[in-house]
Amino acid sequence: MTETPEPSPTSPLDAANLDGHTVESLSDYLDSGRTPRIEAIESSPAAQNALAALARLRMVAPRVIDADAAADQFAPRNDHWIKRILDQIGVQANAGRDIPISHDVPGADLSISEGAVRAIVREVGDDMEGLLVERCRLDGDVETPGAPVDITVEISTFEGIDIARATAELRERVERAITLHVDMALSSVIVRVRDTDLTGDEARAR
Amino acid sequence: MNDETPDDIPTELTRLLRNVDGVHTVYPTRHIVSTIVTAVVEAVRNDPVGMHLVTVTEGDDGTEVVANIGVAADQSASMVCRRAHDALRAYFADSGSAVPRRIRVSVGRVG
Repeated sequence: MTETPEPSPTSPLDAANLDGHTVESLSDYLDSGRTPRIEAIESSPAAQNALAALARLRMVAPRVIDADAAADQFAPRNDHWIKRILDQIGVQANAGRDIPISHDVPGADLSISEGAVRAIVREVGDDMEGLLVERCRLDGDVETPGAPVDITVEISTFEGIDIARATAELRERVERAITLHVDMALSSVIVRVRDTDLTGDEARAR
Repeated sequence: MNDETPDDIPTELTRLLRNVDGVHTVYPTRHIVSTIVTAVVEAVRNDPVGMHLVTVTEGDDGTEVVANIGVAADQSASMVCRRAHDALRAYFADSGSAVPRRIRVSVGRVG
């Protein structure tokens, strides 16, 4: 089985991962409300995948930080958590391998990037209440049509979430999204919970 | 297409792809650095900067077309990609030109 070649030897924030952009520069761009428009960012699919993930993280992060600050003013654990997710956004938005899309026409060479597929999975998970996707990995020879592929999703969950139910629902949603968008022999979707109880007050209120 | 120069074809194809149902973005196919150079060249030539996003290469064994697209999340990315390919192919067939030897379309972003 071929595992996704994570570009870990280089820094996760290596600009080469994002068509010359860094997570920091993309974050600054979000701060500015994406104005003035930077064509080099808007015309990069990898940067767009990262921007979407960053925007979703920003919606959740204040809840995590506030809850942690209430419990411990130094908030050491969640500082690491946010940095870990930022690093993964940088790594995982890169295009990666080309996953073929079948088309029975001579000369047709169609594909979807591995980065786009990881972004689909991340978006599916982040859209669910109570969890956030840390990373997604495609294991298998994704470049060969019909080869079995396993998808592993690592998530963090918020306090008060029924983890068994959330992971089952995420698995189902990922399977549905992959089936809709990608020509892939999906063998399994494995969900791993890396951190739990990331937030306090808001989750308790639910 | 008789009054068109070969340089107009990438622009036509970019515009064509932008009108394909489900395609929301046409990304440059070249590395960002070469894209910047291309943009400067296009600006000098007074061409619309950013329109030449689809790459068309003429070789001894025929034409090759390369495109990179972003697609809407509410439709199958695979289906939209095939639709984009078919639109590119039809462009050449309908104009009486030889159908490209290879048409490569990749999806870089969904949503």
